[in-house]
Amino acid sequence: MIEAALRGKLSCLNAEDALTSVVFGSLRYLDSSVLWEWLQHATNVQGEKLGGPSFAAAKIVFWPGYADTFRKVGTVEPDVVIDDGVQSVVIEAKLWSGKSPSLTETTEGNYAPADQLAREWHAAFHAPKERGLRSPRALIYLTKHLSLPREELQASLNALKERGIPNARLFWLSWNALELPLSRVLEELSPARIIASDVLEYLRAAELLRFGGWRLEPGDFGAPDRLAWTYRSRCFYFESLNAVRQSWVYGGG
Amino acid sequence: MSDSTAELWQAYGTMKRVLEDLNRLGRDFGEELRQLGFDYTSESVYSLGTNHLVMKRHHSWLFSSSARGDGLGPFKFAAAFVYFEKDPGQWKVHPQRPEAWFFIAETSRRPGTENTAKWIPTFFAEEDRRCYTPEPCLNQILEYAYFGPEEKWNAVCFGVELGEIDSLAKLRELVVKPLVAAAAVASVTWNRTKQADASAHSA
Repeated sequence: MIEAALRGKLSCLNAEDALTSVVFGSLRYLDSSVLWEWLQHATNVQGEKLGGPSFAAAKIVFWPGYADTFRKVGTVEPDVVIDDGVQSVVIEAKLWSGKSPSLTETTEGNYAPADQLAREWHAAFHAPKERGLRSPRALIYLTKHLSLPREELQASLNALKERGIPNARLFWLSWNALELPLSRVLEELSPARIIASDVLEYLRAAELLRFGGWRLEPGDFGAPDRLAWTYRSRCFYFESLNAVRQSWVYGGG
Repeated sequence: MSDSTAELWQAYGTMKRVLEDLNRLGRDFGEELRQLGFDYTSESVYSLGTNHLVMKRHHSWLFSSSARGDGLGPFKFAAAFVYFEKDPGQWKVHPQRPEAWFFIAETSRRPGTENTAKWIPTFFAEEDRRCYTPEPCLNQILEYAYFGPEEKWNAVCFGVELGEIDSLAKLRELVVKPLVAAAAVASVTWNRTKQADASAHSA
C-alpha cells in the first residue's frame, strides 16, 4: 500500500485512516521501543509527558467500537487502542480535520455538540471490557500540529469536567515526533530499517516531517548554488508544456 | 529514453524534492517563531498558485495572529520568502543565486479579505530600497520603515542564500533567534516612532 500511495496509484495521502493504518500497521513489525519512544512525546495541557513503564509486546487494535456512554446513545470509534495486557492507550488520530462534533441532547431537550475526545475517553474508561481491552491510562489526540493545540484539548477536558470527571488523562502527540525514533531504526543493520524507511517516506509525502535540509542527489545538483539551475530547468519544463497547451485547440478546432 | 530525456526526468525529480523541502522550510519558520513565543501561527497564508502553467519566481508564507486582523492596532505578521528570480521593478542581492528572506513586521494596513502573502514581494520593489537600514544585503538584520500618507509599515528582516540553511538547527540559530532579538529591540523604536507620529498629528 505504501508503494502504491507514494507512486500515485492510490490517492490516500490526505486520508487519516490510511495514515493511521500505514503507521500503526507498520509499527507492529518494529520493536515496541519505537512505538513507546514516540508515545513518550505525548504532552498534556500542564506540559507533563505521558511517562510510565514501557510497553512490552503491545497489541494494536484498530477502530474498536465502544458503546457511547457519554451520550448514552450510539457508539464511538477511536482509531487505535494499544494494549499490552497491563495498560492501554487510546489514540484518536487526525490529519487535516479537527475533532468531529456530534450532537447530544441537553436537559432542555435541545441538541448540542458533544466533544469527540470526551466521548471516547468516557466510553473507553467505562466500557473497555466489551473488546477485551484494559482501562485506558491515557487518551492521545494525535495530530499534525507541531505545538500543543491547547484550546482543543482544554475544551475536551472541560466537557468531561462538566460530567463530573475532573482528572481525565488527555494528551496530545504530533505525527512529526515519530521521525526521530524511526530515524534511529535506519541506523540498524536489520530488515527493520526497510520498514522504518517506508514509513518515513510516507510521512514525508503526507507533509508530516519537518525541514531536514536539501535532499539533492550528490553529483547531480548537490551544490546549493545549483538551485538556480534547477529552477530554470523547472521553468523550461513547464513553459514547454504551456507552449503545447496554447497551440492546441480542444476538439481539433 | 534519450540522455536528454533521462536528464529531464532526473531534473524533474530533483525539482519536486526541492519544492517539498522549500515548503517545509517556510512552514517550519512559523513553528520556530512559535517555539520562541512569537505566536503568529493561528493563521497561515501562502502565495496563491498560478492558474496556468507558468512558474512563479518566488513564494511567500505569511503567519499572523489573525490574518484578517481585529481592526484595532497594527496588523502584526511574520513571513518567509523564497526568492529565485526578481520580477521587473524588483531588487535582489544576487541575480542568479536563490535567496530566502524572513520578516517580523507590522503595518497599519488592514488585511481585509485579500491574500496577505502577496504583500511580501512588495518589500522587494526597487523604489523601496530606500526604506531599508542598512542598504539591502544578505546575512545581516535589516530594518524596514515606510511611512506613507495612507499606510505605515515596520519590519525587521534577514536575507540569506537559500543553500545556507541546510538544517532545522541552522534555521533556528542563523535566522529565527537573531530575528526575534532584533524584533524585540525594534518594537521599542516602532513605538517611539508611533508616539512621535501621533504628536506630529496632534500638533
